[in-house]
Amino acid sequence: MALLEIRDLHAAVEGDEILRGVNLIVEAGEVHSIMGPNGSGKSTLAHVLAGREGYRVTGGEVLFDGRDLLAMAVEERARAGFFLAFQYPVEIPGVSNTYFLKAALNAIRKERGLEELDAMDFMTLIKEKAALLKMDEALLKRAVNHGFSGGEKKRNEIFQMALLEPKLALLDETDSGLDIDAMQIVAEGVNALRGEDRAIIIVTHYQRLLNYVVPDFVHVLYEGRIARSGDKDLALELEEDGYRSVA
Amino acid sequence: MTSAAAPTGHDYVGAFAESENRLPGANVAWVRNLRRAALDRFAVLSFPTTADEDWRFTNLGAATKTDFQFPSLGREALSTAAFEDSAFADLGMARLVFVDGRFSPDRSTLSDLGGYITTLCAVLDDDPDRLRAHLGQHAKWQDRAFDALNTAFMTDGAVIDVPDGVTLDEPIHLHIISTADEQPMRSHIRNVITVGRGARATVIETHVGVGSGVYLSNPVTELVVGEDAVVDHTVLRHESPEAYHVGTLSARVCARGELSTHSLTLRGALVRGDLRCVLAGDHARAQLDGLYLATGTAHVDNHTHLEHAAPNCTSRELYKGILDGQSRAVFHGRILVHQDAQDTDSKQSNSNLLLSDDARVNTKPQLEIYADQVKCTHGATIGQIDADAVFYLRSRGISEAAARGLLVYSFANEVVERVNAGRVDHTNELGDRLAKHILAWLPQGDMIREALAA
Repeated sequence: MALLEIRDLHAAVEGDEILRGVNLIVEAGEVHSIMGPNGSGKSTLAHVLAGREGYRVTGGEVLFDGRDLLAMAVEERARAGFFLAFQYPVEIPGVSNTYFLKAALNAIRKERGLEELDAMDFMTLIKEKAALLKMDEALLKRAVNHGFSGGEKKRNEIFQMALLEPKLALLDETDSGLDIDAMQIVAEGVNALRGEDRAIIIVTHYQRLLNYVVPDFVHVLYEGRIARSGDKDLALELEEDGYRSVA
Repeated sequence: MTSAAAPTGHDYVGAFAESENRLPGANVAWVRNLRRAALDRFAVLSFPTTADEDWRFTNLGAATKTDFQFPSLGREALSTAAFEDSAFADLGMARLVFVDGRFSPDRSTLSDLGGYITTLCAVLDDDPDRLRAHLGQHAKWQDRAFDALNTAFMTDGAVIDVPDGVTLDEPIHLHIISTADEQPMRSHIRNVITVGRGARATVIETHVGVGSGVYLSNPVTELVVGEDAVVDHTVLRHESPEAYHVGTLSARVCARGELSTHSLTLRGALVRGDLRCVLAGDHARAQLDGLYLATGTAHVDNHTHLEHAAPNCTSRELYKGILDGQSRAVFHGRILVHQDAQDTDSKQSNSNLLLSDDARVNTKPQLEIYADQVKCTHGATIGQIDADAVFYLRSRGISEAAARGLLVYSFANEVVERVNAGRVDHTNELGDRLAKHILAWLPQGDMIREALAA
């Protein structure tokens, strides 16, 4: 059984059909990249999978670990092991990163039948993960994403992913707005999470992150459908020729 | 003058005539004259109505028609159990307790408070003239009806006088209880706090109700922050759900002095808090924080009146409100910058979170600037819980209810964290208690506690 199976997924935003029959199978242990031009439906796909309001599924189904993903509440998806790294992480003034991470980690551990971590183990764990992402520990005490630079926000997303250890992580344009140093740090974080039990989907406009996190499969989303699939060389080809070659 | 009592439910003028000779300072001419002048002003001003711009959104309604009794001067008869049940009674610090306007020596730990703290009654008995420069000099009883009412009837309160250069290591807790009896009562506590040059003090006033009935609590605090002095002042209001509370803090900050205030309204049928602050000397600073929680049909009204009267002063105002049910809140923030108050730096912010469709807020900043070199900003927001933030939290596994609760809690936390931040001993008993109170108040409190447990 595949970890994620998307079958003929159709979705609309404000009456416009954006996804027009997406099919995709992702097995545990694989890294996929979904590329495509602006407006091809990449972010819509990410949001539909995460369960964001305002996106109406008009057809198809999504199985995650054998469960009907689209029937699950947003938080149930997260607890089942689905993680979305946001393209635009939300600033939450007043909620400290530490509080937030504690609440998230406890909710997910509870679902997995694990004990809640005590304060000391929790701090040890987040410090370890922060070091992995070369996160300034001062950021942990600050409000979630509040006043973070673009790069800090993206790093914070990957940091959360490292902490919550999802089965499937979907990185939505995580590379946008990152300088080359930050990109390498993020890539190291993502690579550290690659493993047999985990799958990663990298949604991106450009090929450059894929130099650091080498995908097993590359798909091109075009006008709401997967127009082409291939291996990492497809990304290079797109970089050369642009998306017109797909059309 | 007697006719002034006619439209009200209580004969204030008659009550004054009856009790005048028994009020503290009755045999001191200037105190007697002050009380009489204040009563005259009250008789002229009468209770404000919604025709008064400063009371436009707050209708005193039934409060003006209630026959509030002025308690006799006998000893208070509050049971120990009732006292211990009163919210915020024990903050683990030295305290002065007042019940229905009277000092309660048995429940106070005055001896732990050094020689700088005593009561209004004691000073007016022993050495009234030491108060002459301050009592009635900072409160605006000449044109504020409730300040006038308090000045006419003030029964007791704390007198805190910190000499130059002295740091009070411990905060002082003034626990001010009103008992809700079958017969509604009124109380008029008057505190006078003077903090000398380079001195430091933290004062916490907790105004709480015992029982659930109607009463009127009408406290006034006059506060002087000396040159280079640092003062942290909290007013917490947790009155009976049926109670009226109309109180004022009138502060004056001298050159290079720093004042932080925390106005915390947690409960009461109608709570009106006026904060008047004059930055009177060069480089004085004020940080005025407020938090109000309202539910049911509660009405909370905060008026801040900040005067930049000297150059190079800085002021920051942050008032936040959380409203549920059909509650109402009013925020009116007036900032007056005098002509010679050049290089004023002032920021005011009022944010409100509405948890129900029926709650309502009226917020009004009012800047009057007569100097030409000033930096003044203000902003007000009224909103609901941010849907994007709820989604973000849920996408990390946090339930929707806990996410909402966490966001509301965090909204309040910005103010809570600063309560006592200026304290000398760096403990934050009041802040911790306040955080617990907010969790208990929130419908999702248990969930947030659980979510944060680790």
